[in-house]
Amino acid sequence: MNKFSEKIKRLIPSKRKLFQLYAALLFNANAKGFITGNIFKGNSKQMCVPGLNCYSCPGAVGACPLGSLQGSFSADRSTLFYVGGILLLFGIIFGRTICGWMCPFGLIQELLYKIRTPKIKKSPVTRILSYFKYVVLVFFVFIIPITYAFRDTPLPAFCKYICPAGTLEGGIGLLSNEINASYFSMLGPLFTWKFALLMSTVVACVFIFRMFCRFICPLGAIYGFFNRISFLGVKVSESKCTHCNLCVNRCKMDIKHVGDHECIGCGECIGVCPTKAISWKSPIPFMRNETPEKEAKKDNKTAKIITRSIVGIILAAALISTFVYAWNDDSQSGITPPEQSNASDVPDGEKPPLGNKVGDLCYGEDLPTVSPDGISAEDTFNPVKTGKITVINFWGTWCTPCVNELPYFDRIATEYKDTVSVVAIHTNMLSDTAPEYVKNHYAASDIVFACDNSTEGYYGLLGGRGTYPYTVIIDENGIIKNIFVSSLHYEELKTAIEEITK
Amino acid sequence: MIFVFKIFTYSKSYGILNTHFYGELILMAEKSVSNARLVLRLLTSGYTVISGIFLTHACITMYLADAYSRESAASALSSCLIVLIPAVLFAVAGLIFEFITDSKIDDTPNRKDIKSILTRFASKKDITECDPELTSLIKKERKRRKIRTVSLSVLTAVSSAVFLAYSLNGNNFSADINTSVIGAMKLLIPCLIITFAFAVYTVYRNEKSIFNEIELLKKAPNGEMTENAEKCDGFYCREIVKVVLLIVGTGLFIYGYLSGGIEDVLTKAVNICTECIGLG
Repeated sequence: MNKFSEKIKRLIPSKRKLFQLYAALLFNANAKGFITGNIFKGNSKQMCVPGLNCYSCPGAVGACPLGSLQGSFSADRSTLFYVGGILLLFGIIFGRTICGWMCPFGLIQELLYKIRTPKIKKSPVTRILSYFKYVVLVFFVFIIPITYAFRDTPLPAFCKYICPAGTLEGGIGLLSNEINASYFSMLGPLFTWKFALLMSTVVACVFIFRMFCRFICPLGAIYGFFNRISFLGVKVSESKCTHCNLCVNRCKMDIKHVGDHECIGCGECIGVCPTKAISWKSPIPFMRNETPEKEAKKDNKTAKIITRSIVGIILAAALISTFVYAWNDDSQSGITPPEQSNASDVPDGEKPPLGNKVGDLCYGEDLPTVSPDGISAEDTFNPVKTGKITVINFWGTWCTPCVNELPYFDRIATEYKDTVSVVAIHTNMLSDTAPEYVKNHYAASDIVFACDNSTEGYYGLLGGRGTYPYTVIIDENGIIKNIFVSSLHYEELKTAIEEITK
Repeated sequence: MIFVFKIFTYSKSYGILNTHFYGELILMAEKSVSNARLVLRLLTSGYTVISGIFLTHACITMYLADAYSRESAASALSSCLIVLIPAVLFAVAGLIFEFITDSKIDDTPNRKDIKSILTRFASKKDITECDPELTSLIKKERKRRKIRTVSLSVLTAVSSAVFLAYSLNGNNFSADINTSVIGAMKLLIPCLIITFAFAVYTVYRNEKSIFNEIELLKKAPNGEMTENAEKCDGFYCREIVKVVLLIVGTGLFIYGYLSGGIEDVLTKAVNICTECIGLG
């Protein structure tokens, strides 16, 4: 009976596993997103979550710290201070205990490791490999984004070329919903590369404990710098330590000492130490040791139960309220098309159907134009009443592929000046960055730059669902001929236009 | 087999069946369980790897045929089921089997840290009192390790410098981002491979050298264990740094928040930049 009850106890997840699961649910509380196939657009995304959690995951309710950091290099200085401050706070308070207790991708890796296969144990080789994440940090998180930031091109290189969490949670998370079936048309070499990388990571994590955390994750590399001085984590009492190294031998991470930059603060070494030299750090600064009174208080069972109950209630309340907030948030659909006076009977789910007259979908509202001098509400433009073939491109200065494809639109605008009107409509969000960008790069361009209204109305009416870039081509009669949900090359644009002009 | 094994072990532990014959049977049963565990683990490993390969191959095939669509993805996934289903079944079977047989996921210990063994061993020996030839051999081993370690540090520094010089030269990064990154990788990967290979060589040679030194030290006489002088553990310095960084972090956060830094974070978080999540 004892053995059986021990077996049953082994089935119960540990406190750390429960907390990891809790964190994963809390950071991905937007259950509605998995049903609608849309990402959450509420204000909670102003705040970064501590762990690696892609903000393009349909369930994500917070921003990814790594994605935000890379994006901040091409943004205003205040963004860099804001994200830098968040990372500094997370690092100094938690250190790498975030990896051990709060990272959803870390949880996925640990669950994969539970599959019963022969395992590759840590060795001097894995210790050497653990330094590779610093190379990834320096090159993909700093050098490339900063280099391209000087070219006014935002480029989150780690997210784009490496991050398997983004591929799994964001890419596959969105593709798996049939509402996003049109996204398949944009898949190409990048997705193939990232999918191969994701599969390699998943398979490797079955054999190697937390392979991604140990060898690749730049976020862990950043938090690792703070491990020795963080408020939370594990510490070793030098007076009690006999240097038997049982803790290091037991640990599955590539640590040299408990609490160094590789330690994820899982606490498994605490039970292994024969002299009880390892313990949790005191979160109160300047408190070296627990006083005897405090040690005695710890043994008080009633106090423990009460404290745990209160903490449990608070955590449960936080989780439930986050779920409810995300479910009820109306900005979910993000883009709310305004009412139209002349709307035809096109069913909502079919807007905008190819072949429909755009006038049936779009109201005749003029959009403010963007020029090197600024955004002008007086000097307006109506993208659907040009009388020519109109290429409407929805873009943003914050969006890498948008910025990369603009030169092709510029070329088309110049070459087909008489027959084609090219309109580039910037998102309402961060529209104040558009004039300077236009001034620096497209001051003499034939492209007409405009700015969408406050609810991204035009974008929504023409079928946009949150992905950028997004291009719609309308013929002279106002009929929608093509819709592209991915970035375009010059040849693709040219082919599309020539098919219309035939 | 497991049931029979359980019966025998319980019988043995209660002293009911305590004969040599049943002892032999128990040993055979234990060996069978161990073999079964190994086979199950190997099958799970094999199918896991094959599943990964099949799925990647399916993705590459769709890319090469320029046939990415929901239908083709569903079709590719269904064709991979032939390996995915056994992989899942074996994984589940492995978990159930090991639950029944009480084995742990990691039943082999990690490698011991050789350096710490040497440090503790060396602290008990006095090499100044031993044979000069032995002392010179020990010093030779230490010198060789130092040379290798210094060489590795130099190689790492040179590789880093070369690569940083390349990266900081803006001319190497053109508007064609993919080509620029691939070009940088063509320099980075060889640098990494060379440094990694030398690092592995250094580590393993140093390990061998440490073993040699331990063997040599065994011949040295025992010395008096010197108590380490009480080291300043820098506790208060660390606490001050903690508090200062906390204040700095809070200050940066508040300043960035009030200056409008959140708008950019929000914009990127609520819009899907498709290439940023690999959709491209």
